[in-house]
Formats: sequence, C-alpha cells, structure tokens
Amino acid sequence: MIELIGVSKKYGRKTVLRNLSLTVEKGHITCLIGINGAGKSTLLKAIMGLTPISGGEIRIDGRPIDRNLYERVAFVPDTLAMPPSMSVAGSLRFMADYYRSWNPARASKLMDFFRLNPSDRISSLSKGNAAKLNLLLGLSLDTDYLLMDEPFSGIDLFNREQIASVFTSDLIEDRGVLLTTHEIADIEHLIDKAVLLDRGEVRRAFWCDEIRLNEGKSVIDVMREVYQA
Amino acid sequence: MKRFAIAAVFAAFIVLVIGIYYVQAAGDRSPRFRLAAVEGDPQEARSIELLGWYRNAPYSENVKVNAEGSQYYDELSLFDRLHGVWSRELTPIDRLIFQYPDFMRANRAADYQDDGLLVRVQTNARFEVGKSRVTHSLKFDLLDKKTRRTRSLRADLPENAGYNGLGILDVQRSGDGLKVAVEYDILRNDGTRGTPEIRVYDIRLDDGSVTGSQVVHYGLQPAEGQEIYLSMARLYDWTLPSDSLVLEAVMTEVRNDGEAESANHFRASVGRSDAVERRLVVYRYDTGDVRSAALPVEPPDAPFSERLYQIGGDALIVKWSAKTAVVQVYGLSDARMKYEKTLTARDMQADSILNINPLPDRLYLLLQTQDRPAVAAFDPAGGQIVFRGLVEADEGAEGTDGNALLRNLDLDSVYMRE
Amino acid sequence: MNGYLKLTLFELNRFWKIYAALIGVTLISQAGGFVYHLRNYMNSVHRQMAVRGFRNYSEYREAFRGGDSFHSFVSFAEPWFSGPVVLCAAAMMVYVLFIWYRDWLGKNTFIYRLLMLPTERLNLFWAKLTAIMAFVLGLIAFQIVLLPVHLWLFRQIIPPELGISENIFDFVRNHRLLQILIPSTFPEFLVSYGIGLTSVTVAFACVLIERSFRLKGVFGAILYAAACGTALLAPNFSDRLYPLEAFWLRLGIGVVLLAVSIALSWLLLKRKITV
Repeated sequence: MIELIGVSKKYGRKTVLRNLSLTVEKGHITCLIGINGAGKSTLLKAIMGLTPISGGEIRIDGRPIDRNLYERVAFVPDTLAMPPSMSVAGSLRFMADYYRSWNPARASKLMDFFRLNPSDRISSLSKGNAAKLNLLLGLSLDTDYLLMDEPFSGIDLFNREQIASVFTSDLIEDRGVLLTTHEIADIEHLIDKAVLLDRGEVRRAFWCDEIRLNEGKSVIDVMREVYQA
Repeated sequence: MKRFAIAAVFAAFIVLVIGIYYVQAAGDRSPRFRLAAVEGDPQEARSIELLGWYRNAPYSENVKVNAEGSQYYDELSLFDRLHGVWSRELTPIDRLIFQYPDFMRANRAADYQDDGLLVRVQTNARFEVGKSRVTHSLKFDLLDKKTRRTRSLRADLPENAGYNGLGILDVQRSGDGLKVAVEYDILRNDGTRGTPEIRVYDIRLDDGSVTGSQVVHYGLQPAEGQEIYLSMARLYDWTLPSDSLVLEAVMTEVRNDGEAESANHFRASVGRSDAVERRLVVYRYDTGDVRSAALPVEPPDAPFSERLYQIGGDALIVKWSAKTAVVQVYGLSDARMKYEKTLTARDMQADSILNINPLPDRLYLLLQTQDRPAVAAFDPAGGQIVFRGLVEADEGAEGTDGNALLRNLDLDSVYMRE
Repeated sequence: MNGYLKLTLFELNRFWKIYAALIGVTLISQAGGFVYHLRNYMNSVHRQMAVRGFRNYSEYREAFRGGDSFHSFVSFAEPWFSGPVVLCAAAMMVYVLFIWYRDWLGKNTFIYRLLMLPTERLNLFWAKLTAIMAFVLGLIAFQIVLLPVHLWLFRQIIPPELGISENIFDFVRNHRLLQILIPSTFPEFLVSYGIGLTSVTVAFACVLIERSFRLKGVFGAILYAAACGTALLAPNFSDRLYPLEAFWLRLGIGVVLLAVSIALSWLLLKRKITV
C-alpha cells in the first residue's frame, strides 16, 4: 500500500498540497481527479521522490522512500523522459541495463501491440507513439505499483482506446495503480477508487462501485457536487 | 560490451600517455657541471656557490654550480621550490628566514646579528601638521637567539629640525646597547637636496632610550649649486658585526642646462650633476674617530665600473673593465691606502672579467676563459690571488661534447655556502 | 557492473561526437596550420635563394640571420596552435554546467529518468564528474601525443641549417599556455588537476543548488561559488605566510571545499532536488 499521511508541499509561498492523506491499494486502480493546478502531478512526483515535501509522510509498503523504491514503483510521467537522439530500441536497452525488474518479454509483446518501430528516434515519434512508448517503459517493469500522470493527455481517440485496453488486461492485474487525469469520461468505467482534489486538499475519496450502488451516482455526478458547490 | 571496451581503451590511453610523459620528463636532465679547484685551497671551492644561466637555445635555465655538482631551478620539486630551497643557501636574509621563520615573518629584513641577538630596525616619521615639523623614531624587533623570545623597542630620536628623510645605514652592538648609524636627508620645496647629516645614536637595549649621539663629519661642505650623496660600502653580509662604518661621500655640482622638450612634449629643466669631490669616510664605533681620504674623481664617461667594498678589515676600491681590475686597499684604522694591485684577466688565465662579488673575507672575480667559466679569489689581507677555480662538465654528461656544453654556461654571481 | 560505471559509460557515450569534433579541430588546426606556415616559409626561402643565387641553406642563413627554433616557428603559426587549445578549454568549461542542464532541457526532461534509477543518486554526480575529468585529461593526453608529431613535421620540412629542433619538455615548459595545462612535474600535475577537480565539484554543487531552489537557488549558487573562490584565495591575502605554508593551507582548504561540495551535492540530490 502507498500511504500519504498529512503531506503538504509549498512552492515558495504557494501551498500546492495541503495536509493531504490518501492510500493506494494493490490490485486496485485509483484515480486522482482535479482541475489543472490542483496538485495532482506534484503529488505523483512527491511519491516518486522527484520533488521534496514540506511536511507529512509518504510510505510504500510501510517503508519510507529510498532508492530501492524504483524497483517496486514505476512512474509514467507526463513526458517521455528519454534523450531525443536515442532510438526506441536504445531506450528499452537503457531500462534493461538498470532495472532488475525489467521484463523483456513483456516489453517485446507491448512493442508489437503498440506497433512501435525499434529503430525510430525518440525525437521523431508522434505524440501518440511517444505516449505509447512511455506507457510501455512503465508497464514493462515488474513493479507492485504503477503511477501514471495524465496518460491520455493530448492523445487522439484511437490511440486512447488502445491505451485504455491495456488497463483491462493482465498487465495491470495485481498492481496498485495511481493515475491522474482531468478527462474522467474515458476511464470512469476502468477505475476502482476516485480521489477528488481541490486546491491541494482531498475533498472526497470514494470507491466507485459503492457510490454507484449506494447513492446511484457516477463519478462525474460526485464531481459536479464537489466542484460546483 | 563494446562500449565498455572503448571506454577502457580511452582510460588506458590517458593513463599511459600522461604516465609516460612524466616518467620521461623526470629523466630529462640538463647537463651536469662542477667547480674544480685549479690553484689554492680546495676547501675554498667547497665554500662557494656560483649562480647563473645555462643557455639551452632558445631557452635559458637558472643554474647553481658548486664543488659537488650543479642544480637547476626547474629540477627542484614543487615542495623544494615553495620551501625556498633555491635561495636558502644564498643570501643572508634567506638563511635567516630559514633559521628564524617566525621572527622574519612580519618583515623579511634584518640589520644586525651575532651569536645571541638578531635585530631589525624600522624608521618611523611623524609629520606634525600644526607645528610643521617631523619627528623621527626607530622601532626595533629583537630576537634572543638562545631563548627564541622576541621583543620590541621604540627609540624616539631627539628632533632633528629641518630633516624630512631618515634612513638606517648600519646597526652595531656595543656592550648592553646598540649603535645605530642613520642618514638624515632633506628635500627642499624647490626640489633641491640639502646637506645630509650622519648621526650615530647610542640606544639602550633594555628600554630603547637614547643615551647619546654623535655627528659623523665627512669633511665636505657644499657651496651653492652643489649636492652631497652618501653611500655605504658594499658588504656581503651587512648583518655581521663590524667595528667600522665605511662610506663614500660624493659632492656633485648641479647645473641647470636650460630647458628641453621631452618625448611627451613637456618642457622641463635639464640638470647635469658632475662629481667634483670624493672622499672615503671611515667611522670607528669604539672610539668615535672619523678618518677620511680624498679619492680621485673619475670622468663620467670612464670605460670601467667602480665600486667601494668593505671586506674583512679593509675597504677596497675596485675599478674594473673586461680585461683589468685595479684594487686599492685602504686600512680601516686610518683610512690610508695600504697598496694598489692590478689584476689582469691574462694573469688569472682568463679571457675576460665578467663580474666582481664581495664575500666576507675575499673579493671574488667571475671570469670567462676561452671555453668555460672560471673564478678567482683575491685576499685583501695578503694582497694576492689565493684561489682559482674552473668549471668542468661532469663525466657522463649527455651529448658527449662536454666543452660545447660549457660554452653555453654563463655564471655571473658568487655566494657563500654555509 | 554497478550503477556508477553504467552511468559513466552513458555520459561518455553521449558526448563523444562533440568530443571527436574538438579533437579533429585541434588536429587540423595545429598540424595543418603549422605545416601551412612552414611550407610558406620554405617557399619564400627558395625564392630568395633563387634571386640571390645562394647555393645552400647555410648561405641563406648567414645573409638573413635565419635559423629559428621550433618554438619560434610555432609562435609564427599562431593562432592556429593555441586557438584550438583555448576552444577545447572553453568547450569543457561550458560542458561542466551543460552536462547537468542538458538533462533538464527540452520537453523530454531526461532528469526524471535519471533520478528514478535504482541506484544511489550521488552516482549521477560521480558519473558526470568522472566523465568531465576523463574528457579533460583525454584532451591533454591528445595534445601530448601531438607534440612529437609537430616536431617530426618540423624536421621534415625545415632543414637543420634553418631550424633548431628542441626537446618537447623544454618546449612545454616555456610555452605560455602549455606550461599551465601540462605542469613540469607529476606532483604539480596532481596539484593543478586537483584544483580543477575541486572547481568542477564546486560548479556541480552550484548547479544543484540552482536546480533545487530555482530563483533563490541562483543567488545561492553565486554565493556558494563566491565563498569557495574567496576561501581558496584567502591565503594570498596574508603576507605573513611563507609560500610553503600558504601552499599547505590552500591544499587543506581545497580538500575541505571538495568534501563540502560533495556532501552538499549528496544532500541536495537526495532531499532537495526538484523537477
């Protein structure tokens, strides 16, 4: 379980995360929802140790963040973080070089599934292909948790459908997934838990099935309640 | 992996090239020389160090040669260079810095030393604006060589109205006090120099009080348009005890030769100063007696160099050119010429005289023979050349022709080894 | 192979094209410029000999005071000799900073990937430091290798009557630029490049300060660099210190600055760096 306990973060005078607590359980897909600037990306980066927090605690399976974290938690950021001159195959080799948890067979399977060309340069990839490669790099690590920052942002419909189909496959199955988005419509049917953020705070966190069963509301209904209140 | 192999080759290339370069550089040595005694006591050769340049076209290297061998400045390690090893055995001040580093730290100067004491003096002038006069004082730093303790003293000199310049000429010890010989100068507002005064002060070592002073009359009275210049005899080590103060006093006539235009178009008056009278002045510290002797005045364009030295118990006037050195030896008890001796390069088996250096008991002449540097030592007490040395190229010097190497060696000064 | 070695290889690999270009420019400019000047000189010698009717080079030398050293021929060929050296030095100085900033540039900020590697973050620091030192020493080694080549070219083109050959070590020791880059003894080499290493670690720490604190970090970095520079220069301000004492003091200060910069970098990479 990924636990955030009373986490806060300031950028200078601006408070981006305010006494925030949430959990991400293994085997479930949790979605962080909020408008731009709500602190979603910052939260993911904080979990991954890419930015320091001003207060609170972050624990992964009960342990604080250390370098071994990266074999257990994979992060798909909102950009494809690879050098532009590197080839697609080169980026796979790079990952294989450093991570024990790299699964080459899965990487190969995903290369075929996403129809990516190994000899393409990173800089020459279309937005859709870059997003797919980005996802591939994260999914090919045998980690317990997977964090994704805006995986559908700026992607056209057909690529979006292809990416969404990954979520229902065995590639995700046992992992704990935390993803952020502001386009909830595409994935409402995929997620297990929703966490609504507003100005750095958690406004509501709920299991989607429960809300549907108990209150007959969809996630978007709850969003309307929270954000337009 | 291929990448690893390439990186390994790159690393090996760096290590090998730089390593080989420095191994070779360490082995690259300039020729070795040695001073050999040809006439006189070989011990004399072991007591001196010759300094100069080895011309290794198109470069020159600083080199020292002595009876054991030679050393090049560039071959000293960084540590040795920083430690001052090169000059440590050369000048008296560098030797003192090495022996008493903490005392010499504040000011790398010294004025007097004996077995127990090391003394340094600084002058201090205060301009009292309201009263438009200058008061002088002396600051002494004293080191007890045995206990290594230092202390400072201040001596306020009784006013010498009218003088605005004060220089230290000499410091000697006398019983439980010091005798300090100073020169007072005055530079007038119109740019002319007044008559300098030499005074010897008696200063108590315990509290710095001035217990007496004496003017040293050097026997010249300037008329209108005449100025007096005083200079001390040159000594190898001015810090050693001496019983005399030896000076040369020159009276010059300052003539205004009208105006001329200088390179940057300023009109200025051009002066010429010609010497009209010269005297050798000897002051004895123990008795306070002053003896002086008239010296001939040489024309300004004379074809030789002239210097006054104090060596041992004598004053020497040496006039020298490339082929001849004329040495006049004066006794310090009476300032009378004892004798005059002419030394020719040929007498010393050399082609030319390059330089003259005083050492505590000898006058050294640096010579050039046909193909190598040479050196001769003159003893004023006996009036003879007592030592001659020749520089030789060491056996096994690289580049077989030792004589050719010697022709590239220019040695121009002599120092005493401790 | 551990993370440090892998990252070092990676850093070496990403710069090799520009590095090869620097080496190529040095080779062409030095050797090419030198040969060009030597050929020109010999052409004018031959012209004069034809005009004056000299039968051999000795006669030319007597008439024209010819007969210059390797050293002076190299000086005549400036700036083709020293130019590339300065260029390489400047390029490396820029790369000391750019080796970090390139990971933050552009839309594919690679620094995310580097910071998420399952290895000690300080290995990023060590790898970049190693790469810089390797590149600089590689250029030095290359220059050393070129020197006997230049001497050989000289001897091939200029006859002995007109050109005095030299020993490489004397040439280096008396060349204004090379004597700084290639000190005369190995201990001095260690001292010089030790200072260089310390300077690079200070620069790295400054970059990390800026990257951790952004605008405030710019001031912090400038302050840190100024403080380190002042500390290193401090022994010069006292005229009471003897040269050897000033040397040991400066060495000690250098070691302290090295340690502080490394420790500071470790702290920033571990706890303060932000993307």
